[in-house]
Amino acid sequence: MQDIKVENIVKDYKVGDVVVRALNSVSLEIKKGSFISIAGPSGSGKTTLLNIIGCLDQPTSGNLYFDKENVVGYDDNKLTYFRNQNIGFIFQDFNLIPVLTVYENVEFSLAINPKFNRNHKKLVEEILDMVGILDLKNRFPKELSGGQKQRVAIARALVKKPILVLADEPTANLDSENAKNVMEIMRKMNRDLNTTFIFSTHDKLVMDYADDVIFLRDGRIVEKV
Amino acid sequence: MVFWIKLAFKNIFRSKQRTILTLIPVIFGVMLLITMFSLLDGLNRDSINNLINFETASLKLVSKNFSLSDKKLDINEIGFIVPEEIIKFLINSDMVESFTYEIVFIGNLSDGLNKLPVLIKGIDFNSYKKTYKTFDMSFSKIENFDAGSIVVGSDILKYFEINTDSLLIIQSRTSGGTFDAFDTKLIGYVSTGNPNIDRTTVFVSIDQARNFLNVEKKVSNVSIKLKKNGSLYDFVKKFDKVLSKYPDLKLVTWEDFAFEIKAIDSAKKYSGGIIIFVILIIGGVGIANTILLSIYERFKEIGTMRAMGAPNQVILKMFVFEGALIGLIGSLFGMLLGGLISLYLYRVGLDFSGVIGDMDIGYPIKSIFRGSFNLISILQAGIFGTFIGVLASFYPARRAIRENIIRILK
Repeated sequence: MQDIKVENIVKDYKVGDVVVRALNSVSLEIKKGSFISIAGPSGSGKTTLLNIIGCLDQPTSGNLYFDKENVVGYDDNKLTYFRNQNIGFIFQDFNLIPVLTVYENVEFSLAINPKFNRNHKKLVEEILDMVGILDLKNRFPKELSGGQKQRVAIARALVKKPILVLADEPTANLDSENAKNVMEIMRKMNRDLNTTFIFSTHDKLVMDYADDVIFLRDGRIVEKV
Repeated sequence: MVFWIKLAFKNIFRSKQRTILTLIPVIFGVMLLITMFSLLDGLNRDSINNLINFETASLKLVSKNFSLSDKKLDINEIGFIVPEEIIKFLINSDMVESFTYEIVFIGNLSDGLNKLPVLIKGIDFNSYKKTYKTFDMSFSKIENFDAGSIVVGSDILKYFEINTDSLLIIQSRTSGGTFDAFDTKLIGYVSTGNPNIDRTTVFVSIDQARNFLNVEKKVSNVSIKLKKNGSLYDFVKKFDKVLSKYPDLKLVTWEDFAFEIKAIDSAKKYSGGIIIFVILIIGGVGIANTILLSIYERFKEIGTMRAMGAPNQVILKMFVFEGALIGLIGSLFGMLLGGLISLYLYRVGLDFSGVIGDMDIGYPIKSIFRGSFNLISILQAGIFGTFIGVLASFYPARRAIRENIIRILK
């Protein structure tokens, strides 16, 4: 059981002398295995919320629980270790390492794990097979289409069996056909592995895949569907 | 580990041109380091060999008035009669290969027109030949020489523009303080490569020297050659026990004579080391710059890695491996080139006779400079080059972990 609880999160940024409130008392509870979309216009606080849930940033105030463990106040090293063990990321620009092959990009996610052991070949190949790109394992990112690159990114996020995968606009750089494929794979992985997925999007088609859609505006949750 | 080495290798060749430019000063620095130490080690080795083979043997028994600093040669001051007990000790010692007596004095050599100041050595040819290698380098082959015959260094021959069988005159002061001269016939010359022998030394028979100086049984020194496996220090210890009865005598080893060579060698190594250190610093700055540029170019990638949970040590390790790999590749090429150069220097050497001429360079070597070929030195230079790579990349690598993740992910 790994539920996530966001409790009264506030995030302020200082721009010159002005303090800008990016998130204003955001609270939500996410059950393990959920498939949740965070939607809203630009500047509504979607990415800031994802960054905080993903332990990349710390809130100005509030709490973030993974089950009973409150990660707010953790130092950098502890947060890094937490992300390493529990959170996978999928980026809008894929962010693959260009000099590594598909296989090695996925392997990288395991190589940075302090508990890394060398018998991971089967694990990497299994996940590549699940996202349907095992036959491309020796290709470099420049030899792949956008949709294929995002599948590599999904495999990379999932290979370490995280409790949570965060995807910031995962289909923004894809055409509608590839976007649909990527969402279907993410949904399949969510169901097969019972991994929680939280993704931000503007795209209505993408929102339709989600169990719940949380709408943000001006740093507040305005609607949950 | 293999994963990170593979990744570092792939990363450094993202920009091949930049990496190659970075490698050049490292290659050059390591190559120079190896070449310089090969040359200096070779010079040191040949200098010491030249000293032992042609000037000092393993050690000398001298009068206590003999001083290395002022190098007095006056037979009245430094001459001595070798005690029978010492002769017996030397004959019976199983550590002694051979020994010989020398009478050394200064004088002028003249062909009637020109005059050259020279060092005259009165020697017992047979025992001298066993103790020194001087006559292995003689032309024509000299079997013995009698009173009235002389052998000179090759440069003296050139100076007078004469051939063997020429008649020459030796002028010097006798032990009584009067100037005298005697006629001699040149029966050969030696070309040892040791400037002190080739440029200034004239060999006469010890009997002729004694007669001329009127010193009867006195000698300037006894040169002793030890067997190859004999320890100089053990022998000196044994000899000192015998010598305790003769307070007017002392031992001077080849190491005592070589103090100037050692001082010059360490000074040259030090100054050469500074120059090469500067070159390697330039190489290090090149590596640091390459790593820093690479970090700036790969900020987003670094951000992704850190977001995925790559610990700081992993990011540091990645860039330090890249720096180390540049250092290692540069060092390997530098070791190869430096190794080939030192092999050439060891086998063939460099002929500097045209450059040096009559100059005194501080080493008892006058023409061919030979290097040494020492695999351990080559390996040490390679390790040093790699270490420069590690050191140079460490500071820029810290830049990669100091940036805010969210900022570099944008």
